[in-house]
Parts: sequence; C-alpha cells; structure tokens
Amino acid sequence: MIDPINYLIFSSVLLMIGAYGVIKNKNAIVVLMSVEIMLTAANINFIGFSSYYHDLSGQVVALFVTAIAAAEVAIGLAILLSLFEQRDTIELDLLNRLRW
Amino acid sequence: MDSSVLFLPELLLIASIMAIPGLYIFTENRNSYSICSNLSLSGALIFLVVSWYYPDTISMNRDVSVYIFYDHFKVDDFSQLFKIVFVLTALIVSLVSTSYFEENEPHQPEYFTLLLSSTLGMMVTASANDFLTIFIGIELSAFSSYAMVAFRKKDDQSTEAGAKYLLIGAFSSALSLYGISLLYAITGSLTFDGVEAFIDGLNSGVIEGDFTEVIFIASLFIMAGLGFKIAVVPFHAWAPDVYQGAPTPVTALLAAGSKAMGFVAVFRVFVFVLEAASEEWKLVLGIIALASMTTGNLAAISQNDVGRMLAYSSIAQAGYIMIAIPALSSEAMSGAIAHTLVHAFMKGGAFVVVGCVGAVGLGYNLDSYKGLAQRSQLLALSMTVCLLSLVGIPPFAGFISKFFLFYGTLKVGLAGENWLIILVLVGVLNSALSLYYYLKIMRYMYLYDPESSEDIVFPNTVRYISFGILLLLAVIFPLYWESLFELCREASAALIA
Repeated sequence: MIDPINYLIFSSVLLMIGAYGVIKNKNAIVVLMSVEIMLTAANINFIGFSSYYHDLSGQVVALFVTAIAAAEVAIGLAILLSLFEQRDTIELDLLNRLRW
Repeated sequence: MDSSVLFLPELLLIASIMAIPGLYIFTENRNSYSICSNLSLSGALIFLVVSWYYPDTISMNRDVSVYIFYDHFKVDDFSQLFKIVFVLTALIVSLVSTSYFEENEPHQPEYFTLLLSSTLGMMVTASANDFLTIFIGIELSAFSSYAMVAFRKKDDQSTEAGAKYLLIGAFSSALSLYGISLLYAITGSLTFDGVEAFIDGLNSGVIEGDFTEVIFIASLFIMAGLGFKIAVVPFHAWAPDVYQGAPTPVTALLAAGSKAMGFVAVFRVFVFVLEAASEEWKLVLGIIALASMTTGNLAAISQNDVGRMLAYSSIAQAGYIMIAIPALSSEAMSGAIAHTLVHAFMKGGAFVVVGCVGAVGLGYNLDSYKGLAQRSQLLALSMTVCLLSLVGIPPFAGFISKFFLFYGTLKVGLAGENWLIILVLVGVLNSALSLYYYLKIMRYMYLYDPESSEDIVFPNTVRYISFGILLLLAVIFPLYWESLFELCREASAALIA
C-alpha cells in the first residue's frame, strides 16, 4: 500500500510544472502541452485515491478526462492552425490586436 | 410515464446535432441547417415547459426532483428553469444568426451543430448531480464555444479571440479539475451529496480530522475554473477581447447562455455542496464580488467599442450576482437566480441589437450608434430598455430582479453579518456609476443625427426578436413579477434543500 501523501506530492509537483509552463512559455502549442500536464496531475490524484478508497469512480473520471484532453488538443490545434495561416506565427506576445 | 422521458429535450438536441451534418451531405439548401436547429430548439423548449410546469397535460407526475442515469442526472425546479433559459437563448441566437450571416458564409452546418452542442452542454450542467457530470457539461459547452468564437477563419479578430479564449479556458478548467481531484482525495466521493455529507460530518464532529485548509484550497481551485466562465474579476481578462472579437451572435450566446451556465455551476457547487465549508471562504467570495463590480464599471466608462463596453458591464453584473452567495439565505439566492435569468435576456437583447447594427455595415463603435433612433425606432427603443434594465431603473425587469437580490442580501446583513451591508451599498453605488456609460449609448442613439443619410434596412427577424425582448423586459416581467419570483423561489428551494 502506497502512502497517499505520495500521490499528492507527485500530483502537485506535476501541477506546478504545468502551471509554470503555461505562464512562462510564449509558444501556444507548448502552452497547450503544459495544460495537458496539469490535467495529468488531476488524473494522478483521481487514480491514486481511487485505489486508496477502493472506489472505481475516480478511475472513471480519469478515463473521461483523457478523452476531454484529446478533444481539447484537437480544437486547440485547429484554432492555432487558422491563426498561423493568417499571421505566420503562434507567438502569444503577438496576439495584441484586440486592445483598448 | 417513465421518468427518463424528462431527458427528451436533450435527446432532441442530440438528434439534430447528428442530423445537421447529415443534411449537409444530402442537400444544398443553406436554410435547412437553421430550420433544423430552430425546430429542435423550439421542440425542446415546448417540451421543457409542458413536462415540468404543466405535467398533467401529458399525464405525468411532477415529483420534487427526479433522478435518472443512476443518480448522475437530476431534474428539479432549479435545473428545468435554467434549461428553459438556455434553450430560449440558443433559439434567439439561432434565429439571429441566419440574418447575421452573409448569403454564402462558409461552414454554416458546423456553426449550427456547435450551437446545439453548446446548448446541450449547458443543459447537462444544469442537471448535473456529481462533479464528473458538471465538469463534462461545462467542457462540452466550452469546447463548442471555443470553436464558435474562432468560427470566421478569415477574420483576424475572430481567430485571435478564439485563441485567447481557448488557452485561458483550458488553463482554468485544468485548475478546477485539480480542485475537484483534491475534493475527491479528501472525501472519497464525487457526488454532490457525498461531498456535502462529508463536510457536514466534519462540522458536526462525526468525522475526525482537520481538513479546513485543504477544502479551502480545493474551493479556490474550483472557483478559478468557474470564475472564468462567469468572468468575475481575477479571472475576467478574456471577456472583453472575446466579446469584441467573436461574431456577435456567438457573443450573445456567451454573454447570455454561457454566463448563466457558469452561475448554475457556481450555485450548485458553492451553495449546495460547499456552503458549510468555512467563514473565510465567504469573505473571499465577497471580495471577488466587490472587486468585479467596481473594476467592471470603472473599466467600462472609457470604452469606445460597444461590445467591449457591454463585456465590462457583464463583469460588473457578475459581481452583483456574486454578493448573494456569501449571504446564502434562500431569499438572497432566489434574488440571484432571478437576476441571472433577467441578465440573460437583457444582455442577449443588447447583443442582438449590436449584432444587427454591425451586420448591416454600420460598425461596432459608439459612433455607429449615432442617430440609430432615426434609422429604426424599434431597435433603439429595444436597446434603451435593455440598457436601462441593466442599470436597474424601475419599472423594467432589471430593477425587479436587482431589488430582490439586494433586498435578500441586505436582510441577512441586517440580521447579523454586518459586512454584507457594505457589499450591498457598493452594489447600489456601482449601479449609479454604471448609468453613465449606458446613458452615453442612449445619447448617441437619440440626440445625434446619423453620419450618413443612406437608407439602411434592418432584417425583419431581428426586429421581431428585439420587439419580443422589449416586450419581455418592459411589460411581461414587470407585470408578472410575482410569478417570476415564485419560480425563482421554487428553484432556490430545490437548490438549497
């Protein structure tokens, strides 16, 4: 039996790596990848505590979240592709035409 | 009849989500997509009203709440009231879209499919009874709206707005999922009832341990995700850009439907589940409310683009509604529900006019509203009523709902929680402040002459819809405010029970 505190440490480290990636990176695709890491962090918690509590619902959530993450990347890449077609860049600093 | 028949409105939407791409293969007729979507939405609307509020006509029993799909899907007064609002807004958006699009606008079948799936997500959120269902509902609606915001692929602003919306939305939904996973880690349950029972057990000492900080942090994470949907202050940065850049019918859907969906989720999670969590948490919600109404109104004053101005006003309105959540009495909650409902119609109505003025080629700036009254009395009047309603001027609908909201909160404040009185006072002062920028639009519409004398014909659908919303806000809600409030009271009873 793994001590549940290990799940929490692992997942919070993953969450912080993901959040750091979202805040720090200028490239939209890397930001999407960092969001995936954050979703994985939540999944670690769900799966770990699912086995700790002997309750299947956490694993079901993990499956759904994986599917949701795939859909998110599909939509994200589609939008970023049409952004790239117009501006030849996906640098986030250059998304500055909507401003006051 | 079997209670799962109450799932029929959602099934109707699912059927036409699958039918519209099919129509694209079989027919070249561009109108068929919008007709299919309008038909399924009106069918769902009629069924929702009949099956819940007049159950005798189709020989059903109206129980207090009905659970379907192994208790994952809960049908009660609260969910049905909001589903009606969602379907009605989607119907308005669907009707307006037809006249907003140009004759050979590409990707129309995709647009209507996404519109319906976004509505479906909102309806699932309204009925959710556990964290997984609510998360899937929110994401279904959010993903569809990301694609709808970026729907005009050749439009520079639309794509930029879509990219911003997507990235910020993905980040905040990941945060709220992490919050849910923390709650699961503490409680071992994902259903609302399970989590609520755990927190009650903690408070009454049945369950040992000190989880206050963890629950507080989990609530912060969840609030980051839901606060993004309702656009309250620390999480509001996307709203002005997206409201300005997106095609205006999509903006109407975001401002009316998606925002109400966010509030449904907030009500469910924070009123039903986490109500007893901690005192500090109420303070956090109060500060969020205070900050978002002040920031929203102050930032709206200097805006020149009407869509952007309404986006900031929408942030301020979210702040008003938020003050009811720390109060947590059933009266304050029914005020909040009423204001969420009415807000959907006033914002939707305002964006219908904005979209129409933009679509006929006048533009989206304040200047393009010069002399709108001379061009179309009806549109100017409808816009005026929506704006006055947003301020909360009697006798319009916004006044009634805002009155209930502030009154309910004030009552709790006078009964002991003194700091709530400050929230209400700031709310009232902010309403006065907001009058400035709403009046600016009205001044442009009525007191100036049009910049050019060319004749502009506004599409008839938009005029009928504006007239309908005008009637609703200026006549029907003010006259039948008692039944409106009765509906909201039932909904809040179903929510808190």
